[in-house]
Amino acid sequence: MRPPISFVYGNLVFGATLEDVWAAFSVSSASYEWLSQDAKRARLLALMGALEAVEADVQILRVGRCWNLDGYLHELELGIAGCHEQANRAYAQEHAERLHHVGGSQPAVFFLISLREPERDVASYVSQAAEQHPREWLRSIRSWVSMRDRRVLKPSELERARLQADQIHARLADFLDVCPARGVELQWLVRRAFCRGLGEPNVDGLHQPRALAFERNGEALLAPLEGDVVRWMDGYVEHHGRSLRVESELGVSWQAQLVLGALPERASFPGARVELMFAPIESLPFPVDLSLNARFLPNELALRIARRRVQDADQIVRAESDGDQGVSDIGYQRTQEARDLLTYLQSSSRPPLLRATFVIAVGAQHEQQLAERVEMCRRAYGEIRLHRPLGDQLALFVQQLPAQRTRVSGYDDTLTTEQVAAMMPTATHAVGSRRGFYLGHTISGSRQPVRFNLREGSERDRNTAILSIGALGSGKTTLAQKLKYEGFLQGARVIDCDPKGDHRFHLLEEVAPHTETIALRPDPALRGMLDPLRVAPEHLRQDATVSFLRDLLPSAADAAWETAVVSAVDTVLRRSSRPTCLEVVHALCSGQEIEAQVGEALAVYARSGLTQLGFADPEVKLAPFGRRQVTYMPIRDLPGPQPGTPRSEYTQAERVGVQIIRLIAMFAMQLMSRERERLKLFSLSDVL
Amino acid sequence: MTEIRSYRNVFDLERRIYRVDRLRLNPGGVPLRGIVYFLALLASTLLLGVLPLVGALLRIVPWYGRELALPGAIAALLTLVRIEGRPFHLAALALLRYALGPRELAGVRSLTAADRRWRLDELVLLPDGSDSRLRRLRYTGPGAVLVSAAHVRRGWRPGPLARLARRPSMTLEALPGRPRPARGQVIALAEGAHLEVGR
Repeated sequence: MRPPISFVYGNLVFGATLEDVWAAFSVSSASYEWLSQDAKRARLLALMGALEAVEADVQILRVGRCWNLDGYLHELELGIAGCHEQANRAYAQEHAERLHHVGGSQPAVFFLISLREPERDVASYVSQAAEQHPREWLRSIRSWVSMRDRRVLKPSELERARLQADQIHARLADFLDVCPARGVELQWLVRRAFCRGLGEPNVDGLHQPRALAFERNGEALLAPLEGDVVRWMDGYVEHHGRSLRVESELGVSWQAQLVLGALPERASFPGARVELMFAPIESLPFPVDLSLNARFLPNELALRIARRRVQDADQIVRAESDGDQGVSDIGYQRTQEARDLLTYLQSSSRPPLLRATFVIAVGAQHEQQLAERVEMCRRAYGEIRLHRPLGDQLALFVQQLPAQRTRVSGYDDTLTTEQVAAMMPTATHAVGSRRGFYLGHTISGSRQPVRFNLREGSERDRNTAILSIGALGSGKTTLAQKLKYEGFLQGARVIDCDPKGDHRFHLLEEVAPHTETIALRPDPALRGMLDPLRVAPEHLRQDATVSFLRDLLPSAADAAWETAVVSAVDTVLRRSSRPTCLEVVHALCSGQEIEAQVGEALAVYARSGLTQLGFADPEVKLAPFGRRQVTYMPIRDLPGPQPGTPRSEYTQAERVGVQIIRLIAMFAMQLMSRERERLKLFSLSDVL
Repeated sequence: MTEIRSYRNVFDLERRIYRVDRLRLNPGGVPLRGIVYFLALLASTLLLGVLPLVGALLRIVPWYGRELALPGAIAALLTLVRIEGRPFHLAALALLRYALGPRELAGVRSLTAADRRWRLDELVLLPDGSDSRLRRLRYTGPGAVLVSAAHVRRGWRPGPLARLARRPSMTLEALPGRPRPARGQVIALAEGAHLEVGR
């Protein structure tokens, strides 16, 4: 067998011969499961567009890449910069142990596009030739009849291939997030096939296949050194009929290649029955590799084939009608389907067809495990049969390498671009940040690790708030405590407001020495701690104070009362350098009839209950706070409205509760705004 | 919801013959593939019939059983079976390839091919023109010679006498003291043409 890859130059992959050039592209995968139907349909259309735009044979590889645990731990190690080093190390160690059990793999998707003209029938070929310049005819004729050495390549040919690859890149980029595959990725793809089921291969990222440059009769020529690529395929392979035993640097890999059988005749998108490159494999707890090798049938050729099929279907029906049993249902149905196909191909977009073979490669550490995995795979694909061809395992193994065409006959199926796009090769369950601590794993079978970077919002200039919603006992408080702990490890300023008193973060052994507790309770010693005229940002000061004081007044209060409050706040803000809400109350009390009534009502709140925290008394000296890394603020029995209650129906106590929460938030903002460069976390739970 | 359709039925059709002229065959028709299998089996039977030992054994069976019933029955059976989702002949071909192909491979090449070593028979060193002078040598085409030193060429007309006298087709002589030309000159030699480089 000739080596399946003869040379690699940039993202150009040369197949078994130097004439068979492919351009390799790495395609970004994206979270899919929770998209709306419209968004899923948009993905389908994008993939369809890409497949139709390239107008060439295509190979889609979706390979499970093991989660890089070592890289993650290394990143954590780099993040430990003199801040809680011991706690950081212990946490990283826990994660390492946990992630060994979680496992997890993430898909890497590659599109390989053949730079060779797709095969056409004679009529299409002649029509295309007629459109070309005679210079092109001469060149084609010369290339057919020339006896040139097939092992060498002219630099001009290489350059032409590179330009073609760039054009295809531009076409693909109109629809998908793609970038040219790097040499190291291609090397990984090849090496990965030999280590399937064992882990990530060691890839020499700097190795690039070379070519010998020489001159022949004044013309520069390149002779690719095939050995450089053959080196990537180093490994002892035993062909066992229905499986392969591959000895690699990571140990012995047992592999089975499965081929997809007949697809469902009609299925709805979105749905697991059509998302064959996403739904079934994401439900598996181990990584599998998929390869779809498709031959492009241009619309003209597809139309001719379809017309022939209409004739065939009619002929079969006629033949069946001659029999005793008459025309069969399937025979009649075929005539209809053939005509439907013809109509589809004659639609305005002039879609092509793809003759494709879909192969699934399963790897395991031993034979027993392989049998179990194959069985799980079959179960995952449900009604669609997976065949395990006897004697063709090696050919299918090679077919999974980059820049390969279908090597096994009998399993190809003629698909529409819609069918291939609906397989959703780029879909994944993966979510979360690229960096940050390990947060958990997805609930899919592939259990993909999820990371969360607390700094992501501020680094990307996006929203920094995190809203956690869930039923009782679903883990909202635990999640909040985990994020606070991770923030603490990164040296963040943490403010933890605890209305229920069930937080335990501040009691952790490594956190407790860095924690100050400010219990928010109706205590005269804390009076004025949440005074909006002191804690609110300057531009919000007046509005926040008016809102606070207004909500303390009875809901049936006269509109004149509200005017009185606004006026008093304004007066105090004008005359005082350090205004407080108590001064506002005094200003109201010293006013006329209505003002005095309002002042008396507010004075009650200023003396009692939690609301007294909002009225600063110049005579009360508050203890200094905000000097520790963690500020824990328990607050008990805070009344709050039931979820969904309209604001107009809030009771007096509920309105007060909401205002206190608002003041706490402003207080926390004030504490955090002192250190602009530092990461800050404010946690507020169960307030609604 | 979008409906995704498969047109597999349109492409995956099996041709059957229902009648030959006025003769009706069985109600379900006879698959064309079955007829091809039958003919292949018949040819094999006839071929085996002329072999010494197997032929004698086959001749025990009457001709209608040997040449009609047996191939017909086997062909009918082979038409019905699908091995790993493929028709019999494709599965059999894969099996044959597997049986004849290598079981042990280095990478994706058979071990026998990978074991082969290339041994250098004779090491030929040719001056590459980087010397400051021309070296004496004699070279027979086909090939090309790049000359980067100042030289003078003498071409000789080939003929039977010249060949008898082993006279080279071309002689190069160095021109000492002359500067090296800016670009080398390539001399292409046809098959059998001799080039001699003198001092």
